[in-house]
Amino acid sequence: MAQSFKTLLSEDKATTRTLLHEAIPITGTIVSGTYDDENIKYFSHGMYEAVYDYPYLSSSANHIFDITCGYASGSDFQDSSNEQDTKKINIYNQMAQVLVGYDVDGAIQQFDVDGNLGGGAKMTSCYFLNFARLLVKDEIKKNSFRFDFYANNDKTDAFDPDARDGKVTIGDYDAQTEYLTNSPAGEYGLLYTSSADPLSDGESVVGHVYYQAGIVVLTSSVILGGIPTTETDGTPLVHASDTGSAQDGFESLTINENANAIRYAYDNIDFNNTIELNSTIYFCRANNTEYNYSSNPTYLSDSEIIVKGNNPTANPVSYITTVGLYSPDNELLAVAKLSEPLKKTPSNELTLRVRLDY
Amino acid sequence: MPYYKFNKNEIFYNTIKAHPKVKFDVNNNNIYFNNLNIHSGAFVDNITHTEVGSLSLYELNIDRPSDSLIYPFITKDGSFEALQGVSKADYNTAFQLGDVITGSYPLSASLSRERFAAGHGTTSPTGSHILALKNTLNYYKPISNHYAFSSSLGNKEIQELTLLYIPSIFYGSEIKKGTVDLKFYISGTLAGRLQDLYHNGELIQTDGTAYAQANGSGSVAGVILYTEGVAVLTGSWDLTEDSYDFGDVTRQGDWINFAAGANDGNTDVTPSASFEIGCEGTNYVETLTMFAQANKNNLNYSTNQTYIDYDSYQSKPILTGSAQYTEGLQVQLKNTVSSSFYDYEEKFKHQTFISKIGIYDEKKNLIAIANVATPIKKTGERDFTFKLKLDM
Repeated sequence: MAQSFKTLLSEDKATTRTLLHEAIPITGTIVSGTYDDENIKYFSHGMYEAVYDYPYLSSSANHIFDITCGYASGSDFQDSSNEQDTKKINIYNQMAQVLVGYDVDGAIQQFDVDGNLGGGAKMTSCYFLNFARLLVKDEIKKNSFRFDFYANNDKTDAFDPDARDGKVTIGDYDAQTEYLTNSPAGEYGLLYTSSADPLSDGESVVGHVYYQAGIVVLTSSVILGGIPTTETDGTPLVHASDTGSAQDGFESLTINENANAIRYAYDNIDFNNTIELNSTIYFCRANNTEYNYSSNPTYLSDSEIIVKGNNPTANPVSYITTVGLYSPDNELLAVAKLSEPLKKTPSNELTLRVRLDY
Repeated sequence: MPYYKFNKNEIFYNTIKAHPKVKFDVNNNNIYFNNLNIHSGAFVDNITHTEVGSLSLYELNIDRPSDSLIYPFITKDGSFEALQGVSKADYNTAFQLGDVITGSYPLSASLSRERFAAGHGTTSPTGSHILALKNTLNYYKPISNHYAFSSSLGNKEIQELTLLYIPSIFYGSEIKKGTVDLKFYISGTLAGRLQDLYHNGELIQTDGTAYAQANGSGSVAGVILYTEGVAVLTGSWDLTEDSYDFGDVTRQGDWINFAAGANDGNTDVTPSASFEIGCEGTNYVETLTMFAQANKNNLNYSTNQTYIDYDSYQSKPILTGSAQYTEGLQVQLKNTVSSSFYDYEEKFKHQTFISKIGIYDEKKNLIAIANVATPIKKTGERDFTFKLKLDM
């Protein structure tokens, strides 16, 4: 029981921020193939599909990410006769307004390839991967995102793993220092390919990863070959009416079928997340002449301090077991317990470091 | 969009007290929690990677192969932060600043048991576990003398006893008094039953075979620490006439051998014996209840574009220029009052359809949105009170 209070001064208080991380591997076995698509949830609106790590009817299943796609109004792929044309435009606009924002005239800005919104090439048709907060936590760790996928698939052979080719790894290389901040959704990094350049025009930026939002935007041109896919009922669908390319997919396939094509091309995603632990540390200092006495009823016997061992001239001794933190009104706010009692005598001084996590 | 300020009678802070049921079954060295068995997956035998009867803290890594598990890591810096399982000595000596300290998932918890032989307080290396409860047990002495660490009823430092540990993740803040129910079965027959009949922590034998009841009906076989989640079982009278293998001893069944095989290191407990531990936990859920009032003659206008009559709007367009921004005067509102008659338009009335309520902080930052299941028709004659509840 506390008998004396000591005011914590400004030098006795410090705030810290510690970063805790988790390594998140999402293998292709989770995304397609293992559960006969019982871990893929489709919605009647058909605007995106959700991927779970286990058949989603099980209470154990965790939602891990959503896949969708869209294009800008007036872009090369866009045509009013396209499958789900309006929804694809709406998806693009929704993502763009949240991740890129508006220009001075109030128009939604398009995803810029190099992030310089002042000009340059735009990504007008994109795939979007929205990762669940369960995995992203506070943010994706910069320079940790790696996505392996097959960019050049045989359009004539749906869902034959041997028909997948052109494996590339894209990542936010060097993003620890090179990330961008001109997004209303926070910081983002550019996704580059580390293997053979999958893009015909030589451009190496293939998308963005938005760290705090936990969203990955991929330009449609990451897909070089055909886009074998399935309908939502699992029926294999090799879309080869024209070229079987990503453009053909954006024009003639539904959003879910395009998302299934991404799942087919998917091989592996790895990233690390970040959890910020904000703490306040109180340094509780017990000087040599302080806290050597206890108001505990068992401390005294016949008005004598028991631990003195019947020697009135001996120094008082106490054992510190608990530190209480009080408000200015002397209301007990928090209690810190020691794992074992600390002996306190006039010959020693202690500094107890009390950490409060938020 | 109008703003209204909640007055003091429209905001309530409440605490919901919930009592989740908890049931463990122990049989043949296996523990089952709430009748759940192993759930096998495509890659692993148990999708949660935990023993049956355990709870996984974050429930990540569902059905993941062992080479692709999510795991936590932290970089050693000056904050003294580390992950579970890293000792202070290892932290100081095995890791340099900048080194990555890795942990592993899942973090799991389950029922466990510890049996103490007679004289354990001084002879057993785990004797400190019961000694550590000395102050706690004595603290509850005013509730029942059976809590006393040492009294005429026995000395827990040296008497033979068993501790059952129930992690708090199962029961929350405390075990609800009066709900503890321990059942000792032999070959499916109830040999003995303990209950905290008087809500004072005493575990009293209330049921069982005639043999067991003759030996200990109404006797106190132990105590339960409601807040700490520990049962101290000291009842040593025989519950069975025959002897059984309880792992570390073979003898007639008694309460000291209750829950043998529950994470206690015993692997050869007789399959005939099975045990049930039932209780209810206590969870406190803080809730914020807000009453949003939509009074008569209020909220009868919308800033939604579709609230304006389109033809009227087109005929009186907004004029903009370098020196002006002028909205069209007397743009008509759309009459949304539906008529029951064919080809007849009802007389105009102000009416809106409330579809959502936004909650703002004092700086007018939108912090929460409540959606109603179906839009509510609001007219000048109607007033509504929307009850919004937020669990914290």
